[in-house]
Amino acid sequence: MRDSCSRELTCIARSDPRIIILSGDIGNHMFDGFKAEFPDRFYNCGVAEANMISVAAGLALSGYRPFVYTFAAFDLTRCYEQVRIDVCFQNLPVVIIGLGGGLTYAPLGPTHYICEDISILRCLPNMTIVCPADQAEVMASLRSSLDHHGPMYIRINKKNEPCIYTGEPDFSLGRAQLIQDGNDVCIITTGVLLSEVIRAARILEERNISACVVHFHTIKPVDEIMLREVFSRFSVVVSVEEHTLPGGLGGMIAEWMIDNRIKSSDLIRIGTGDYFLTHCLSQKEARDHFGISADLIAGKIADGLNK
Amino acid sequence: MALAAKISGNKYRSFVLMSDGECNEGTVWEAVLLAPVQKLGNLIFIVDNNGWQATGRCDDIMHLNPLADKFKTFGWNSFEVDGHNFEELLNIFHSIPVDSEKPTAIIAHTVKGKGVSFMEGDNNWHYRIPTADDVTRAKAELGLE
Repeated sequence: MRDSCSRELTCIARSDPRIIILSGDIGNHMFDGFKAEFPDRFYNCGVAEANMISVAAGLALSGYRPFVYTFAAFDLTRCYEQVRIDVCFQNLPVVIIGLGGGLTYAPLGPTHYICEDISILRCLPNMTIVCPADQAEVMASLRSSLDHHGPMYIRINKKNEPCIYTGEPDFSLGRAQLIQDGNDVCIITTGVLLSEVIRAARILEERNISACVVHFHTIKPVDEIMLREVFSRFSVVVSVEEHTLPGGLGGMIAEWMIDNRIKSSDLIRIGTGDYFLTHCLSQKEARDHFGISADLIAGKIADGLNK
Repeated sequence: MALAAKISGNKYRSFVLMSDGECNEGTVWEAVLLAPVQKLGNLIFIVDNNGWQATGRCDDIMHLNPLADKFKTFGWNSFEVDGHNFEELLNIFHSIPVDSEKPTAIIAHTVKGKGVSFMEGDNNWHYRIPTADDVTRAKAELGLE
C-alpha cells in the first residue's frame, strides 16, 4: 500500500499542481520519484508532527492540497490539537495518511502500532475516515480525496496486502461495498482485515454457514442505507476490525443501532483488546493474539451462531 | 522524576539518554524551557549526537545546530564531548555540580555504526535489520567474539 500510495500521489500530482506532500521524517526513498518530478512540492517536516499538521493547514488555507504522511501512531496522537483545531475546526482539505493504522507495526511495539486511530478521529467534526482494503482502493481513495472539501484520514498498511479487487474498484466515498452475499450472518469489516474476513467466510462455508461480507471502507460518514439493508436482512451481524472495540467500527454500528432502535438483530463485535501489547509480535502473530485472523474470526462467529 | 526528587527532597539525579533527531520534537523544547525555571539541577540530558535521523542528515531536515549553544541560551549548562571516549564522558559526569540549580545537557558527538565497516556512516542501517551473518561480522570487527 505504501508504494502504491506514493506512485498514485506522483501520478495525480502531474495534473494537479495544488498537491504538496509533507512527511514526518519517514518514507526514505519512497518518495524519490515524486521528489525528482516535483522538488518544490515535497517537504520533510522532521520529527515534529504538531508543526507539520499546522503547516498543512496553512498550505490548505492558501489553496494547496496537502497530503501529510507519517506513521498513524504519530500523525494523530502527537498533534491531536492541531488536527482538531487547525484542520477540522476550519474544515480544511488536508489529507492525513496514517501509515500502519492497526497492527502493521506491532513488531515495533506500542510506540509504533496504533489501534485507537479510528476512535480518536470519529468524534472530530468534519473528519472523513477511510480504510482501504488493498492497493487499488488506496489509489481510489487518494483520487477521490481531491473532490472532497474537508479533512480526510486514510489508514494504510505497509506492504504485501492481498489484492481484493481484480479490476478497478467501484469506489465511492461513504458507500459501503458488498463483497459477497450470504444468508446466515453478515460480517462487516473495514480496511486490510477484509482479506482475513473473506477467508473466514470461506471457513464458515465449509461449516455450512453462509456469510455475507460487507466492506465499509468509509467509516465516517457511514453508509446508513447499507446498514439499514444489512440489519433488515440479518438477525446476526458481526463487526470485525483491526482496531480496539471502544469507538471503532463495531462501536459506531452499536451507536447506530441504539439511535435507530434496532432490536431485531444481535451485533457481535470482534476487534483488538483494550490493552497495550507489551511484547513485540509480527502483524500475523498480533492478529492471532487478538483473535482477528481468519480461523479465529470464523470460530467466534460459529460460536456466536451456536453452530 | 527530576521534579519529584526536588519536591520529595531525594538526592537522586535523572539522566535522559536521547538522540539529536529526537530534538526535532517540540516537547523536548517544552521540557528544556521548564527545567531551568524549576531549578532542576538534578536533570541531565545526554544527546547522542550522531548527525543522522531516519531520512537524512539532521541539519538538512531541522535546524538543530549549534545544539550546545541552544541549551546554553535556554538556561542550561552544556558540554560537548566525544561520545566514544569513556574517559572524557566520565570526566564530564564527575564535573556536573551536584548542587547546581541549572540542568545540564551533554552533547555527545558520536558516529552512527562506529567500528563496523559496513555500517559506519550508512544511514540505511537506521531501518535495516542485521542478518545473523551481519551480527557475526560486526561482533568480530568490534572485538566482541
